[in-house]
Amino acid sequence: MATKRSCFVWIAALLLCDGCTHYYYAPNSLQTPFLQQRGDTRVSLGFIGGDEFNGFEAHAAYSPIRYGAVMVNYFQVQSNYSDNTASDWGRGRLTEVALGAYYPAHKYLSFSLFAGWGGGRVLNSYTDGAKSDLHFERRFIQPGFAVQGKWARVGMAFRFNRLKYLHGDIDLEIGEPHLTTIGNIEEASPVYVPEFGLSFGFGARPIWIDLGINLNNSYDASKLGFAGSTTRITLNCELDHFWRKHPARP
Amino acid sequence: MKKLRIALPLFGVLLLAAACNRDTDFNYYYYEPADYTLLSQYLNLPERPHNYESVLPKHLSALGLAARPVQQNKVILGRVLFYDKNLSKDGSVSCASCHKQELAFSDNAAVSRGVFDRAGDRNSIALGSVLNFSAYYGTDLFGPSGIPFFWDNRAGTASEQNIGSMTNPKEMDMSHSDIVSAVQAQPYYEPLFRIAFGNGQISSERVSEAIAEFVNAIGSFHSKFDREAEQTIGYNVYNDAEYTNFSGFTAEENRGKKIYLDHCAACHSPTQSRPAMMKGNNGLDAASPDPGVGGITGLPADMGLFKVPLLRNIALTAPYMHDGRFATLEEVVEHYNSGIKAHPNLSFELRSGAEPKRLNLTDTQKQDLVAFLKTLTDEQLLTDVRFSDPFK
Ligand code: HEC
Ligand code: HEC
Repeated sequence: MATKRSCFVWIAALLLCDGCTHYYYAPNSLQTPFLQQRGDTRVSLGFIGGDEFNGFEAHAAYSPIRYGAVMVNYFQVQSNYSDNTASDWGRGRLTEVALGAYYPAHKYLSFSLFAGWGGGRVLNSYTDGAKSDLHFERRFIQPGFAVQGKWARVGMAFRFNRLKYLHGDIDLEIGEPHLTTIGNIEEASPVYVPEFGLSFGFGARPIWIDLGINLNNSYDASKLGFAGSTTRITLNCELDHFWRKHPARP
Repeated sequence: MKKLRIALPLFGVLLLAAACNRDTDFNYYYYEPADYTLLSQYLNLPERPHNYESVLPKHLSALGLAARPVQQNKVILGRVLFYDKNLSKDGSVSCASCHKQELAFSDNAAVSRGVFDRAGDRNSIALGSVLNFSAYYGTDLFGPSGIPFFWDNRAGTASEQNIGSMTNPKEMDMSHSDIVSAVQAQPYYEPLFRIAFGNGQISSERVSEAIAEFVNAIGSFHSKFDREAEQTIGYNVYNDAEYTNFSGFTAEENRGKKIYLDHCAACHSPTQSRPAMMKGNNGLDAASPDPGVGGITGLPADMGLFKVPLLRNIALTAPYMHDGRFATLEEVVEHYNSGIKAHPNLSFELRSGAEPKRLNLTDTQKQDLVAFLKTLTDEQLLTDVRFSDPFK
């Protein structure tokens, strides 16, 4: 899947990319950890990619108390493969923490609501090596649910983001259309970005593999140079499985 | 424990709301900080460079004139070079010494003084007109239909022209290698060349190219005449619209415009766009001591012919003619009125039959004409910081 996708990206890049798209935001994965009880601990590692960029993610979720959880997300992408000039590339990363509540409505179903805060940076380099370097802060509220059976699972969530660009250093040499895009961001910030995420997984406790898509539904995405979607493949592990004396309920 | 259960999500919501409301603050830079510190020791360059793109008013663009596309980075470098006295043999002269901004980039000496106070041969030409017909100015874009530089049309492009000025013993008196070492000796040029050309390598071709970009970027089209012409003539340039009285002109200026259109525009352009002809003889002498264009081409028909200059900013560029023989516009007008000499190559427009033309203007008419010529002054150009001296 991952290689197929990057193959596709390669071809798309060769066909579409002259002078390369530069992104200033891309949606990281909307995590819907299947939490059921105190002590539940989930970690995951995944590949994520979008049009002309790809990277990896790490997540962790832990429930220190019943119905309460913390979540940590790390996201990092780059695009430097799309043409041969070494100076045209982009890099982005985001680290965030979230606190939330979950409600195990059924042994197969868990609802969750997270509120999170984090920050990141997008560094782009353009023809001739001129750069733009933007730092942002993101706050979000994310309602979602997860259904998990014996061999398969599904997760779905909405995420309402308040994305604020705090500061940036922009070499005027990057020229147009990039300066206009960055000017739009400066003007629009803070930007409210609604997102939607859906994932399907298979496996068996404690290991799951998820395939997911994250959609950025913001109206001005292209005006602001935001990526519209990302897809991912993630390897998950329910760590608590290893230290729980009594294996958790199915 | 229960408290914590409520506290946790609450804390999350608070995090969101907690208005750590810093403003978005983007810093746009053009120079790397280290470069800018260095440059700032010598030069007043704005952190964000000036915009040198121009859009011509309707009465000029309607004629197919377009602002020559300039490369900003090179214009910025060119501006510094233009004002840099280090580019002359004795360190006393820069381009700006003979092309002063406050005089619409001309000089008030009849013949300009170069290095070691050497006198040149001719009167400096005002540069403020260049961009107005820039797509036609210089032979690099439109070949022979482009307007060449200098009184005798001897340079095809702005870059050929400025190398001419730099190497002219009566102006700056530098050899190509002198130019390179003079530029290399100044610490502020390395970053400027790097930004303009991608690397800091310095050559006389690059020097000349950058100065040419600067000269090509200088434009003058904000005179009273332009404001009125844009309104009244607009795109309607082909059916004598220029004869319509301009509502913002005084009666005197409108009468002067009519005289100008009748007697001068055939050579100097009705809309101050581009001269109608590249060279002419306006009867200054019966036999001219300076052969002008003929001195370059060697053709008898070119003897005593000179570039027909645009008259933009003419009120500021005294003294007049290639040798600066007239001190005032009144003298110029009197020359055209009664003083035209029968030079064998006297241009057809200034003859009546075989004889030099006599306009027989009344005193009022002469004043009217001068009043009109004064509407061609572009005050904005004289103080435009983009073209001003960048040295501290
Ligand atoms: C010593 C005075 C002097 C210096 C220094 C000087 N010029 Fe000139 N410039 C003149 C004179 C005089 C003319 C007209 C000469 C002629 O036509 O023979 C002229 C003509 C020109 C023209 C032609 C304009 C036209 O419409 O044809 C341009 C352009 C020009 N100079 C640019 C420059 C630049 C750029 C520099 C610096 C590299 C420079 N000049 C240095 C005196 C000077
Ligand atoms: C035959 C075409 C022709 C006509 C018609 C003509 N001129 Fe000229 N004009 C020239 C030429 C050629 C020069 C440059 C002569 C020289 O310096 O040797 C010139 C120079 C000038 C100059 C000096 C420009 C400078 O920068 O020093 C002024 C002012 C001027 N003309 C005004 C007028 C006025 C006013 C009229 C109408 C009464 C007029 N001209 C009619 C061809 C013409």
